[in-house]
Amino acid sequence: MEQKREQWASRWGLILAMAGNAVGLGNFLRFPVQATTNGGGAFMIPYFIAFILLAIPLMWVEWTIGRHGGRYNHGSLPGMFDSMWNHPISKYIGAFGLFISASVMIYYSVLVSWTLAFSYFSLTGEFNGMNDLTMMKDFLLNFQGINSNSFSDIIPSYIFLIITLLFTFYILSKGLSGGIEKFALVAMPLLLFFAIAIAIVVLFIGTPDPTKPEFSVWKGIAYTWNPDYSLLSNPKVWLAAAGQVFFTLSVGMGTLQAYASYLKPKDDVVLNGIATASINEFAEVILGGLIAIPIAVAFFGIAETQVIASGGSFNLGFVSMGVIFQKLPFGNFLGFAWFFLLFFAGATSAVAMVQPVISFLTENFGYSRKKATVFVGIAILISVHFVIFNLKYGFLDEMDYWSGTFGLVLIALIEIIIFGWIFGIDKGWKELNEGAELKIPVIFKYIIKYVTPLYLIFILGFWTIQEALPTLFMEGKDPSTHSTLWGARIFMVVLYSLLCFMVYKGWQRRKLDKLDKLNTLD
Amino acid sequence: MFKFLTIDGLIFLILGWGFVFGLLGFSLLRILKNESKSKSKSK
Repeated sequence: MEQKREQWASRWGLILAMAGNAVGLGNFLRFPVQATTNGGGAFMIPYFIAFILLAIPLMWVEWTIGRHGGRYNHGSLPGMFDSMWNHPISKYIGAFGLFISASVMIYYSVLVSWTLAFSYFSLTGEFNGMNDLTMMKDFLLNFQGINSNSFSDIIPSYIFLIITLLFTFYILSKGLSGGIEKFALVAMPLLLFFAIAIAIVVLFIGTPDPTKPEFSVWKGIAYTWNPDYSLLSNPKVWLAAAGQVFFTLSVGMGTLQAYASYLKPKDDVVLNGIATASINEFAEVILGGLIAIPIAVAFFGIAETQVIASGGSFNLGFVSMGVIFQKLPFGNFLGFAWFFLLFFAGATSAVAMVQPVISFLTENFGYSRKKATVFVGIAILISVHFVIFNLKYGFLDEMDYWSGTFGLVLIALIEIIIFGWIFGIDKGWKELNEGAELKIPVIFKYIIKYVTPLYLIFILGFWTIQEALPTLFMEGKDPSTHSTLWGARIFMVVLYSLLCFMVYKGWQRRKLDKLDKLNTLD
Repeated sequence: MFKFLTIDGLIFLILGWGFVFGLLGFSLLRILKNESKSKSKSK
């Protein structure tokens, strides 16, 4: 039985939900690290070039593919590609897009649960007395189970993971406007409020120790924005910038398309898309750039901050920030605000990642939303165990590379080729401008058809040689972790194969439904 | 406050912030304008 397609209740609900989809942990953790380790202010040159030539075109294309697919009751990529490319393989390529969002969700939910846990620990004073980075790092590693071999040691993180999953799936079970939209209308303003409040506190901190004038928030801001032009000649910087804008707008995951599929055929995608992207950039460039690095420099100095940043986003966001808040008045509450805004950023993205799979089940198998939510929830719950029990052996990192890094760019390349070359740029341009409340400069038609695909081919080519092949051959990886890494790969292949099988079954069911209807009419 | 920023750093900061605030302000104001237009049309 066909269910009436859900719709967004309000324009602001749509924009905040889409912004929630885009704004994630990367805005506050990944961006500061990428900017400061890739040339500071000079990084912003390739960043904004990639924003105009890569991120914005892809974002518009994905909104359009989504809205177009929704017309045929498709809220996920298999059906969306099938509606644009009349070839049997198109839906199986779309299944790869479904695989990306599902597999990223599996490990992303673990990261989000850590932010919830750390919010709780901050508020309850668990971090009181943790005055140095080593103590906080040990706490994090113990919490993650990396320092132990016993399940009892990870019971707290396990509990927070279950709570996070229950919360995420509760939101999803309430539907588009009753769940996702309502959550975004609460979470996004709160997230931005907390982030702005913390940014203001950071600015007031200034130079906490007058005997160390270089240990200053202003030094940290200068470190982010003062350009190191010599790095611009390094292709890695251009790739890092392209990667950052790509991930920050959540393109290549099938999630923007899923949300856009609930638009009406003449709803604007151009202005709404720009509004969403600009909210994301506000969270990233302004707020993300004002918090983690400046405050770390104020308390640890440039040299130590560089070491912290080189240890990765979680080293900066969890370890150093956790210690810093201990040194501030009302530190427990500020720490809670920081980790809880990260929780909202992560949870709004996590909800978006599951939505395509739920759409796929409701539209192709006739599941009710609640049944689809329970089914996917159980599948994710089983799958996360592979991540949490193999964290120290690199299971998460392996999934993050193939699905959350390489896979995203591959899907983005495929979809823009389908949009610009197979569906056709003239049809695609007309579809994109349908209902548009902003006139897009015509040059974007040629950017979408030629520049963006070439840019993506360039990125993929470089990454294949520089990263994918070494990752594939496990170069530099501890041999004791090889079996886990192969396990992660097999897991991903099995997941994709399962989704392809479900696509096959779903399409058979659609054909039978059509025949039944024709017979009824006869 | 700005003693650690070079001239170039200040320029990049102003341009970067200007771009983001400009895009945000433009898009949100445009939406508000369009929404109030469509509300008065429906009245």
